[in-house]
Amino acid sequence: MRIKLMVSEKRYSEIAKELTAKGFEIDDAAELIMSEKNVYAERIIGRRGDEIFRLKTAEISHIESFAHDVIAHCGGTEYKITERLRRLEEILDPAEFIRISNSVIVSANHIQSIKPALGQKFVLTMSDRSKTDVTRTYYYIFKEFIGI
Amino acid sequence: MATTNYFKLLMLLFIPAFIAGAATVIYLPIYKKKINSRLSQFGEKAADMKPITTPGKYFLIFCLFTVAAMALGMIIFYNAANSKKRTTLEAVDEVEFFMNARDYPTLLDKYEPGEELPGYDLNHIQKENDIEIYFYASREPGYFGFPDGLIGIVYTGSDEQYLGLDAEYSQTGVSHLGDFAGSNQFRTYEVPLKWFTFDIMNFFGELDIKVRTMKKAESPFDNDDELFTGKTAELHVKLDEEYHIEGWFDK
Repeated sequence: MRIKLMVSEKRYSEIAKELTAKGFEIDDAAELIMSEKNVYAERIIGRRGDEIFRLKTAEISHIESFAHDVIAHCGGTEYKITERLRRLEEILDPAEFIRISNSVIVSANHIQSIKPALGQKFVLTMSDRSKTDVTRTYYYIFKEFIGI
Repeated sequence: MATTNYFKLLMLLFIPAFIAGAATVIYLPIYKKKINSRLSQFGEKAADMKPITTPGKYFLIFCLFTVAAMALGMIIFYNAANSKKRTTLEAVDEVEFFMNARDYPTLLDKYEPGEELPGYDLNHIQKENDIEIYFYASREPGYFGFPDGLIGIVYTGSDEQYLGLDAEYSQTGVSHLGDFAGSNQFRTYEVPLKWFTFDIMNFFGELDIKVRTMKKAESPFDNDDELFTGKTAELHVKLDEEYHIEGWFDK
């Protein structure tokens, strides 16, 4: 049985050893996930073509959902993510990542500037110069999150 | 007329919105700067930070403030315009007393001395020797286009008499204006005298009115003693009492 571990770095090797001893195969691409409470992912798996990458969440500027694809923008490069946006909301650090629309999660540390727009909206310029909108639904949540 | 009033009302409502809109446009870059400054402080205690006023809220607050200021201004102006006028010094250091006989057609022809005149208070009535003198003071002295006072004279005797009026005026004790005095004489020529008007500039002194029965004068050079037919009436008026001056005299 293949299992994905989402635990703290500190305890990762200990738990991985334990599970391996019991016959589990640790695979970051596995659909079955074991996660530790109050621990947020420091890395997530991304794909580019046939290549698999372990992306540091601290380097991800924003994650967008297009139809069935979820794309993470990291260092100016796009990576396909297997997790759904809703799942990513749970595993990413809520002190750093915030959902700003039905299809976008951004990292507050990668917001370069905020521009107010008409009708309770903000236009965010990210560290990779891309722009994304905070929609009306998430307007107040975003305001409270940033503290404006 | 109704259309003009609605238009004026619309303009009145538009003014606060326009001012608030202009103020909000000025506020927009300040707001943007503030939120980006707050972004740079991200991670610090966001809960302790006072929320920044949004442009929408700013517009509403400014609009309300402008409306309140306009309303207050209108109340003050209305009160000032309708409060009892106190006679004040003219802005010039001159004293004048102008008096004229209305011996040509005027609005006053519709009134008889003693009748109520809109805008004027009948403050004195002197009846003496078949002569009646009526003194009116304007409720709004200095109101352009209307005299500050009116004097009406009537002969009530059974015989036919014409009237003449002498007015002597003097003012003393006003330090920065100096003493002021003069006189006017009015005689009947063609039209029997009935109404006199006067206007004042920094004059609230004493007015002595003497009305005499006289023959018709043929020329300004006729001797008054020869014209006089025997009856007189006098009225003494203190103009500072007629116009309710406050703190005017600097004695």
